[in-house]
Amino acid sequence: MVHENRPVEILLVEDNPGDERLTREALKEGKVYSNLHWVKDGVEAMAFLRREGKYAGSPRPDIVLLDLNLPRKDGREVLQEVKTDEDLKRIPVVVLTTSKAEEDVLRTYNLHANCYVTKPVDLEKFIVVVKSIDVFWLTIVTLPPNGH
Amino acid sequence: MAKARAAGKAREREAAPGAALDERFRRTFELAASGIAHIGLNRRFMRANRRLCEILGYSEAELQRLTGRDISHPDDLDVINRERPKLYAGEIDSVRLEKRYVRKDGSTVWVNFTMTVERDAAGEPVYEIAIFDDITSRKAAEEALRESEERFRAVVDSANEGILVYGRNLRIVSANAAAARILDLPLARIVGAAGFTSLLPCVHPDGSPVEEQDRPTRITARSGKPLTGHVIGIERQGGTVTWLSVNTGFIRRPGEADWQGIVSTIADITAQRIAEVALRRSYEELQRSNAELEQFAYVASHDLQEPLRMVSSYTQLVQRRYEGKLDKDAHEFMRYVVDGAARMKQLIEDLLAYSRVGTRGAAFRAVETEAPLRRAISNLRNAIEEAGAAVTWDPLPALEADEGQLAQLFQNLIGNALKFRSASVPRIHISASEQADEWQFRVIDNGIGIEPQYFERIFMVFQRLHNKEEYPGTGIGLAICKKVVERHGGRIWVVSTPGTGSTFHFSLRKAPHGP
Repeated sequence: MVHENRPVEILLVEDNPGDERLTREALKEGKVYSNLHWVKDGVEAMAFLRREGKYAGSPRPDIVLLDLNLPRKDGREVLQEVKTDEDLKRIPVVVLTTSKAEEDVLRTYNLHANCYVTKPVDLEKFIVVVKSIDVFWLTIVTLPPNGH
Repeated sequence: MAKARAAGKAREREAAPGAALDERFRRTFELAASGIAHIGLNRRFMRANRRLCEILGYSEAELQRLTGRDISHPDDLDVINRERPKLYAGEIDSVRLEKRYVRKDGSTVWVNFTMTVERDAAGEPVYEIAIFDDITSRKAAEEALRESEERFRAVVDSANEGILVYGRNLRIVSANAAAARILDLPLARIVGAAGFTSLLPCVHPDGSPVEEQDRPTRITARSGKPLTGHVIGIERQGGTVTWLSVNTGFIRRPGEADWQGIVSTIADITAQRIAEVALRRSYEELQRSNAELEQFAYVASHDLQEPLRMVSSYTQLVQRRYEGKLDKDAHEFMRYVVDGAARMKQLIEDLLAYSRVGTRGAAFRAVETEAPLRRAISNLRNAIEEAGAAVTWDPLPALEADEGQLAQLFQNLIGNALKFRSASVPRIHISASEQADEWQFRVIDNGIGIEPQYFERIFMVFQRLHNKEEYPGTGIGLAICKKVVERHGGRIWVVSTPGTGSTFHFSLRKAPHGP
């Protein structure tokens, strides 16, 4: 419970500013104690995760919220790279999808996302989703240390 | 009688002086295998041997009272008379011809007739020596052969396929009229040529030229095997191609292994080929357009969700954040915005589900149709319990289908029956009956029923018969049913009496051609 006093470091990989703001607001509404880091494409996301260039001083995220349709490098590729990287593969990745159909397609790729979440139209539902990230994270951090 | 008389004469001759040689000639005359006669200048038979009597069916005595003309076939009366003057004049030393006689029994006999003339010391004709050989059976065989050839020729001439006969040297010996028509060449040019491929620019189906070694007759001769359906195109001036289907076969003499010639038949399949190509193109076009449409529906519904979520979420955020700072109207208006967005989302989800019937269907497998029915009922358990409905079914068949889609089909139809129930306890019964190559299913309910004018409309996308307050829904359920059934090569229709109930019928093929 040593982590309770620090905010959850969340990396949001999302190219739509409306969604970024909505996620930020939902975290606020859900009263999730967090730091939201926002990158707009898959290349930036990998740079952030590997702390390269301007992200050299960035924290290691506790959780990644990953949209699928991204410029330059899409969500599938990011997920693939994260899950095959010895250093990064333990970071939980929540894949945000627009529809159930998209989720079905994704499952066939067998990419080992930790969780799939369909972005709800209803704000209340979205707040519930964001809150569950908090719960999810707390569950994660109570697990044995992962070596970092 | 004739024999007795002949024998009597022979005895007469034996008594005559110098009879020994005479007798031998006499015997030769009598025993010869050919019919022999001496004919007087008055044309009457003077003497006739035994064989001639057999050939003509008259005794010698009877013949002696007749002329050759008397017993000639009506069509051959004067064939000898026409030659006789030349023989008598010494222009020819013998008459040789084939003619018919009418035998005593009325039957016709064909003979090979040879005649010379005996002359006296002054060279004047004394009598004629005629030899008759019966050639009736040979003539009959020739006639049969001619008839057979006539029949064969009629077949060849009237054939719609071109027929080309090649000799051992693989040059064309003969061709029929259809060959000339199909090749668009005069027969005179075809006969003698080393195949039509030597006369016209020919191509394979892939467009490459037909080389000498590719000629159908060459292939046939080389491989020793007949060709069937060998396709060759003739390039015409103006860029069109006449497509031919070529068959070949060997001509052999009976009992001989080695072939004497090759017969090649050519059929013009241009129209057929053009139709096939057009059909394939339009099928591919249809496939492409369907795939595009489904892709479009998928992308459209997917991409429509994003702005919709923005509209809905931010409106709700405003509601939440500015609660109490906005008046009653503002809250009501925002409720309509959110409600509209929610309905829009449902429509999009439904449209997506509809397009997924085509794009995300599974392969067909053997399915016990009770299994998807049970799954549908299980998914609808709450609605069934809530309605207090009784869902029953007869034994259902096994067939080849997409089980997931069948479950969806049953679920939508039973769900529909529950939704449009009447005041009485809902009873839903499912049964199937076997037809020649399909199974017909029925989902029978005792609900509110449908007016006949809507029987077609209810299966169209987003068609609704009731307002949203009465019966919520987007009107996609039956459209999905239709699409599922059609993907399985079947049909769906409804029979209903308003106020009594509806029966939804759908057919599923026993062995569909695959999804």
